Amino acid sequence: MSLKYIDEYRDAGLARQLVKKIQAVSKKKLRLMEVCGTHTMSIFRHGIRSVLPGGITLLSGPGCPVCVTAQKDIDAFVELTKIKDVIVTTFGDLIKVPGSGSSLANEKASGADVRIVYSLFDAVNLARKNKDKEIVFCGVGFETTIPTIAAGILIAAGDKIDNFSVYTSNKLTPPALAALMETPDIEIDGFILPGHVSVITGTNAYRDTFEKYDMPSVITGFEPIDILKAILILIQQNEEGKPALENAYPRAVSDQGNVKAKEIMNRVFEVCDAPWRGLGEIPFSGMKLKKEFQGFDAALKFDVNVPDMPEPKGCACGQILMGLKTPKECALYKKRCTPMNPVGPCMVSTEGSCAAFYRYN
Amino acid sequence: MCLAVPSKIIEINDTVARVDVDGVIRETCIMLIDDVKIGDYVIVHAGFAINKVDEEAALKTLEDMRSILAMEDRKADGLSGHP
Amino acid sequence: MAEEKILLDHGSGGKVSHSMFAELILPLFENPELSKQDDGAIFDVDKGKLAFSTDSYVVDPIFFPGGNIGDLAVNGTINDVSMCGAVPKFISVGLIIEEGFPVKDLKLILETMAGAAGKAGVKIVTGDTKVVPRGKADKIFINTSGIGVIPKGVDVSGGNAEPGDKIIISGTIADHGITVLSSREGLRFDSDIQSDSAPLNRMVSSITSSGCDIHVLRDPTRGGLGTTLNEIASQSRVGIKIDELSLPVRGAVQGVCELLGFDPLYIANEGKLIAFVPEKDAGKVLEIIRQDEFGKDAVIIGEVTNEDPGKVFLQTAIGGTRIIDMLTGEQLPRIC
Ligand code: SF4
Repeated sequence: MSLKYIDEYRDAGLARQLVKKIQAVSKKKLRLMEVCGTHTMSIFRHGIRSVLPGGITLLSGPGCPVCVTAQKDIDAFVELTKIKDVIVTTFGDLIKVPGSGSSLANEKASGADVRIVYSLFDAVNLARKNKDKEIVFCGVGFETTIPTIAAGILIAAGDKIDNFSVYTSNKLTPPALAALMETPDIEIDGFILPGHVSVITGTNAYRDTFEKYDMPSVITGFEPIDILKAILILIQQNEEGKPALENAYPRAVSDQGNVKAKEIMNRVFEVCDAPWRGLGEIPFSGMKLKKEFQGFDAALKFDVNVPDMPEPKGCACGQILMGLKTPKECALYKKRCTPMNPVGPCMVSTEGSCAAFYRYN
Repeated sequence: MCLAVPSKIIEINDTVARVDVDGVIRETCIMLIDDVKIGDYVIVHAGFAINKVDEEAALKTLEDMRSILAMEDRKADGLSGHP
Repeated sequence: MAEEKILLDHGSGGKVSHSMFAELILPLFENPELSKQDDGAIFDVDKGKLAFSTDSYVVDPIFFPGGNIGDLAVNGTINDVSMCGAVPKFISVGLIIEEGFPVKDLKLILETMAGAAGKAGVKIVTGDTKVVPRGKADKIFINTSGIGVIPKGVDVSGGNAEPGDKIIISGTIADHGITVLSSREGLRFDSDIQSDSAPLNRMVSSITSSGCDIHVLRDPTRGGLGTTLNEIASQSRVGIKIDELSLPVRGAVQGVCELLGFDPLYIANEGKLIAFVPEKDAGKVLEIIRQDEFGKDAVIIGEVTNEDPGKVFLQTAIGGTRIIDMLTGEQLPRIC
């Protein structure tokens, strides 16, 4: 098998050498946070925790779009399935996430037309082919995904497809990191920053947060070599007392990021405040459709009114996403809350901390 | 938060390209990136190419790492008295 | 058969049903037991133990690269019977067809079933057809049951694994599941991946008649290799350790898994078996499997331990370990 740019970064020999080096330089006890859920998955999948020195703790941060999608937004997605002639399209990640009452998977089982798509492209094409239906896309995701949603909307606008709309619940990464830094009691010694978000944003997007808090920060990719390298750099920065913002993923990430993608994103969307599940409202951390694209806003097109419901009692997702607790410290973990019967969102998404802990520990 | 896989461009039709991941061919939208050509590797997320892979940087990362680790090994060996 | 589409009448038991059986089914499956057209098949049995298994097949799409629901249903039951250590002899076929189903598709499926049974040397001796109104079934469902004879001295069971056993897999994993998935509408992958649907009865016979000690045989179908290993670990109350670097996965299959965020350990196989064999015989059994037409890529992937009974561990390529749990729900294409 040969997967270029993947296999080389899974090289067992090199990985083992890196592990040795990590073992050699690690002295202090450190708590490092991988912000991104795809990192969490990769760390579990490759057994990275099991090769790290005992003093290094990896925390899973708020970078799982499914985990941080506000319960109210999930409730709205569920409401949309109940409108006549609406086909709700979603990424597979989201389908089992429970809102306050139901989930998209539940509604699908009771006959609602909910379809998993792999790309915005597929959702727009569905609208093209089903002129008598309304196609609504559940718009979750971070900077990596938002430009693809924007592109989908531009395609729909260009081709005058008016039976397509998006319910936006997108999130931005740097504001969430800043909010995290302002949270009392957090103990984090370094950030492993999300590689694919950074492909779009560029290294510069983290510069302000870094300068303000002097937090060791490394952008990296998702293969074991990438992750181990980032961990090594964070340990070295801590041991030497020299925090820095470094890019360990230069094959994909540049200082300024993908300018064209950002331009397309900013043509369609503008920054707004956004609610994060478990974390609450974070200023300037979301993106909503600009005025001229409001015709594609499912929230305006359909009258979905969902009441504010309290989040599930006892679920510690919020604290887990901030690194204040581990899943095992949640009283419901493995008891009332399992992947078969999830209480909170962290148990739903395969990359959610609780699900990942459940599966691999 | 974002699964994305390096894929090789094998055909371009306006804003849509066909990409190859070790024998798996699928369509990818390339409207988010500039100047791609056949043979380039792009990173594909949710059906969209979000950037080109910088081949030089990719090689350099690995080489740098190998040489740093090798140097460390020599240093370590030197200290323990085995040249 | 004159009709182009299956009608409710074809399942009525009346004239139309009879002509379908006589004109379409019987000529394809022809054998003395079926030709009698009795309510059941009557056959002689050797003295000893019998193995009996049943399975229902629902697959979307029903035609996919490397096979269709027909050979899947025949091979699946042949393999289930074989995994008991038995030599499969007879199978039954129950068809549930949606009204309006194209007769030419049905014919193709039946031909494939006849071909698969013939290739494996197994007879289809009894069956049944029902037609349900449009929308009450998705195109066609097939149930097959099979009976086989267990040769003297053969004793394989999921409960027989012992510490020290080597675990052999007969070839690449995840081919079937990934093929079916990639042929689903909406994903639109082009690749040369094919389902691995195949009868394993001859491979099993060669293994069980080799004089080697065989503890467990299983086919890792739904739920994939990861789930099957978990079943065996808990049935036998042993620990299992497998090595990531040794797992055979085709490049394109791995590619699809990367694209969709799937783990090949949890993807279905339809023509693979795993064998648990004491170390002394492992090399010989591996050779026997590799001689078989469906076992060329066989390898040893791990071993049984007496630590952590009921648990399965994977040693990752980078030297770490992770637990392989049972699949907890269908894997869905994800972007994260
Ligand atoms: S275990 Fe369940 S209830 Fe507890 S924090 Fe995780 S998702 Fe929430």
